[in-house]
Amino acid sequence: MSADVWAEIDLDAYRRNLRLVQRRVAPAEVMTVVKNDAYGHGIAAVVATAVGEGVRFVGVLDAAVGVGLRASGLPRSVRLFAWLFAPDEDYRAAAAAGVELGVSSVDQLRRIVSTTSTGASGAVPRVHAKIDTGLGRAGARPEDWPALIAAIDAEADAGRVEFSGMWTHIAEASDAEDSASIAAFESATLEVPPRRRDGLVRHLAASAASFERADSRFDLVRVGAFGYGIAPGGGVSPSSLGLTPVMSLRARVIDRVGDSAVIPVGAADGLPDAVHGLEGAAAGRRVALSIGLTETLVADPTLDPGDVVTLFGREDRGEPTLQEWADALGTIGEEIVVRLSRRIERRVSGES
Amino acid sequence: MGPVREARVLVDALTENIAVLDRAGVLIDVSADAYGHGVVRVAEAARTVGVRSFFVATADDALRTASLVPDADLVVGRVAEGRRDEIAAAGIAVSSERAGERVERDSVYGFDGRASAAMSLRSRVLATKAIRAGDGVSYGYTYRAPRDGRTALVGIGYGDGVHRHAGNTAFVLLDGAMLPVVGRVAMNVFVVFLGDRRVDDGADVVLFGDERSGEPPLTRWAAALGVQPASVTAGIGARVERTVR
Repeated sequence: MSADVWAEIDLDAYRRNLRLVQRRVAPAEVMTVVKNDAYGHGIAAVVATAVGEGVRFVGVLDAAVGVGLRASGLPRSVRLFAWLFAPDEDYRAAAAAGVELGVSSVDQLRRIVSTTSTGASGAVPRVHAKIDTGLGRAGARPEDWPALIAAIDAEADAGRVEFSGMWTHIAEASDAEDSASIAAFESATLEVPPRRRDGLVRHLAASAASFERADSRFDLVRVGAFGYGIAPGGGVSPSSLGLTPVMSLRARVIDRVGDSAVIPVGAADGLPDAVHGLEGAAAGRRVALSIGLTETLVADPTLDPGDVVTLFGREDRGEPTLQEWADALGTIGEEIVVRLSRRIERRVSGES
Repeated sequence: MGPVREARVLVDALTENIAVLDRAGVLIDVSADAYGHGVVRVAEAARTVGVRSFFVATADDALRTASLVPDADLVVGRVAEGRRDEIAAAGIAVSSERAGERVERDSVYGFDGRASAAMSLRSRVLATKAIRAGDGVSYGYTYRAPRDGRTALVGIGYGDGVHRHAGNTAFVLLDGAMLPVVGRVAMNVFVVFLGDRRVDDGADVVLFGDERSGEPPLTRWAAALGVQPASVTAGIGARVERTVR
């Protein structure tokens, strides 16, 4: 326990957040999203906790991460979903591990089939067709959607893929535009042959939309941020949604310089660079922070070496939250946690 | 085809940058895993030109570095009184004990814009598609296409060290041209507006790289984002494959 800087990960808070979301979106189910090492919180502990809460879908982003989770003993009853692939991706290991695959184009479908139907593994890849309902990133544009569905249908008939889901991402730019995306998703469903529709898991919403809009939930919602207690920002605090931040970042004072205390963490560890006006908390007070490259100055004349400064944490302890930082920086809490260096020790509590 | 996300350390540039330093009393700053360049790699490059003394700003980082390069002469910047013994036991000196020595950072990694940058950040086009005039891109629709054209989905995002606010601000080298990053950068992808260009899946995308071969410089990337070059390279994420050239 020699570290001067550490991030506390409170799995009890994660559990509470997850239960809150599960109750809110039922009967839709929750896919817990654990990309980027569970948003910097540590994937193994988060997945174990989520599975303990009855979560049956885990979103991993990268197929290799899903393969790793399966290899570490995650049972087949927990479905894994990956959706970001290289143009020359080999899907064989993913199929063998039962990692389900987002598919955006006929070209990608061909590659899935050509890399999985050659081996002796016998595993038929499960695919989730992605439609672009306005976000303009991955996904088939509506004019290309019928061809994608026809191709998947044919491959499914041939036993080379299993047509397991359809999905999209929405922009959350405005309620009206999200409504248009939801309507586009509904009509995309109608392009799927009726005999296939019952078997599909349909998913559209991430944290914020799933919480606010019943019509966004379909069968499954993909929840990253809210599980970690990260509020959407724009003045909306975690507590106003009933969420508790899972991560608290703390550091020990190592020295004093003039009227300031020094803590040994900075932008080179992933903290926001070259900003002013962020606050931390220490000894029950708010303290102004000046973030440098490797050290941060805490404007407080009374803190002594050994005292603990919280950079971000929980409202109920009087600490700034990620949402407060993110609003001050013009970003979102997710960017702050995923940038945080892996060199910073994670201290996990609340393991079951 | 190479990795979808690649941080390429330019060892020649690194070695050259160290070689031209005045060696008397020089400490190479290898804080934060040598600002993302890899402390073992930087220590090796330094040794080939006869530099064996290194600086790390903080105690935790110094202890980690000492275990990675156990035979290095290592100096730590600032340590809490209570950890002096622990630091000494690991064979690490404290900078207050080493008067007359100076720490070199910007000139080693090319953060100053004079020395050559020692890292290149690269990705690939995952897919391209049509976009119509007025269509929005990415969360919040902060960008709308000015005309019909094509976009490229690039496989790197803010979870990998590309700042989220690079959207509608920064440019990347793609298909021989500097093209705009449009819409919000997402955790794992961003979008580039291609205009009428036809680009193959898998095409190289250079965010910053080797100026000597005409690639856009790190310092320009950092300046566009209003951040320090050191925090750009140190902030490159774990999903990015480190390679050496």
